[in-house]
Amino acid sequence: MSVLMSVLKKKELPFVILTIVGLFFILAYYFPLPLLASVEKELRGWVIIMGIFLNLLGVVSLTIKEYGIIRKRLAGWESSAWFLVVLIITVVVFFYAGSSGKDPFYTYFDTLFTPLDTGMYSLLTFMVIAAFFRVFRVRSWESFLLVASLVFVMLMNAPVGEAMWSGFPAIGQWITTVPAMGASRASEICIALGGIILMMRIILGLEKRIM
Amino acid sequence: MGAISALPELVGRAAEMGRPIHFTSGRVGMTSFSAGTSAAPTIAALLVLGELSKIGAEPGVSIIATTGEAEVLPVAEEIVISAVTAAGHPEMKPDVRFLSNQLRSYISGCMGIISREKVAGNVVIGMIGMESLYLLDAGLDVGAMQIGGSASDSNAPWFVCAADYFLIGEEIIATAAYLGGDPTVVGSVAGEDVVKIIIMAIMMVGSILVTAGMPWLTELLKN
Repeated sequence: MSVLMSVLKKKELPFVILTIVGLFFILAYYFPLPLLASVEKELRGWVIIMGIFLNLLGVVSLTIKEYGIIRKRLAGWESSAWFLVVLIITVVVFFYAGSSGKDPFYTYFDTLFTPLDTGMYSLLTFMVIAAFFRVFRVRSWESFLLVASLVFVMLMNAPVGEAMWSGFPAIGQWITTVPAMGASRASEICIALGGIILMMRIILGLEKRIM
Repeated sequence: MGAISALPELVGRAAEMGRPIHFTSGRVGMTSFSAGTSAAPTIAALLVLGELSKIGAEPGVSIIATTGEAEVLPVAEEIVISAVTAAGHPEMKPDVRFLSNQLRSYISGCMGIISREKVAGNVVIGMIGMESLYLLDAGLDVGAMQIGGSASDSNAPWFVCAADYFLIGEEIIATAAYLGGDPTVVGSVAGEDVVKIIIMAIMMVGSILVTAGMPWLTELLKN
């Protein structure tokens, strides 16, 4: 048992599993053979199950952490206590409701969560205008370009822009469809490539910091 | 990339001021792999958190990491523990806080921490959406040095305007690679650049061929 535990605790084992499964998925993608496809389908089911367990792990870790804060009476322990109370109520209400119908879980959700969320949203909406003016300042050459583009795009969308000068919609349209679109596509391609490289590093065990 | 050399500067500033650094990787978890873009920036951001913790361990700078995904919490804690242990300070405890996976609550939580703790630095890296504006504004409010970057190109403008050092798109992943200093990992980024040049060449040749009425390359790649 102790030998098994020492093997399980080692970092190499997860890396070996990760590498085998990762390379298998790549193989199954490029060689769509029936046998590989059926194993891949099975493994994808496992991914969903493991994803659910990962969520559960997050909730359990969070509960242990918040409980520790309450027990030690650290700063803000009241918030942790409130968090645990709400968590327990939500879980109990959900399990009580089951799949019998909408109530009482949806009543709980619609009457408590939605109004609170809407209230928070309205507060933040007012704040976004002030934040926009504070953040969008010309602090560098790049930010000047952004603000200049913003003026043209804003006047393209606002009817007053065309009334002021017919060139505003044309310039705004050009900014949106040519440089902005080109830069956006380039950024998307690069981030996808970067993501592939990062995942390959993890699959091949080169990125050890994540484990 | 200025952000790489800015991290020690940020830690030094926090140590001098005796204030913590706020770090967030956003609200995206580690199980979302749509188009290979969603989870990768979060993982890269967590690697940056590890390096930041390692740099901050020596002067004893407190790093408050926040997340909007419960599943990120244990991973982030483990990364911080590994980083501070590697830096020779296993006694330092990770301060990773889950706020909420609801956008508004997450924003309010982050802003509250930035404001209450009067952070010396604000690091916002990952797949950051519209929350970036609020978080950067809160950082400006307390005079924090800000380093940020989002893989979402529609939110990059906020970082350009408000952050002292910004990363655009794939630079987040490259930063995570460079910070580790592992030659093999850095080599993979250099290899990626070669792939980019090849892709750009194919795109240019493809565009010229299509314009000349010969779409065979486009058809070949479609298949």
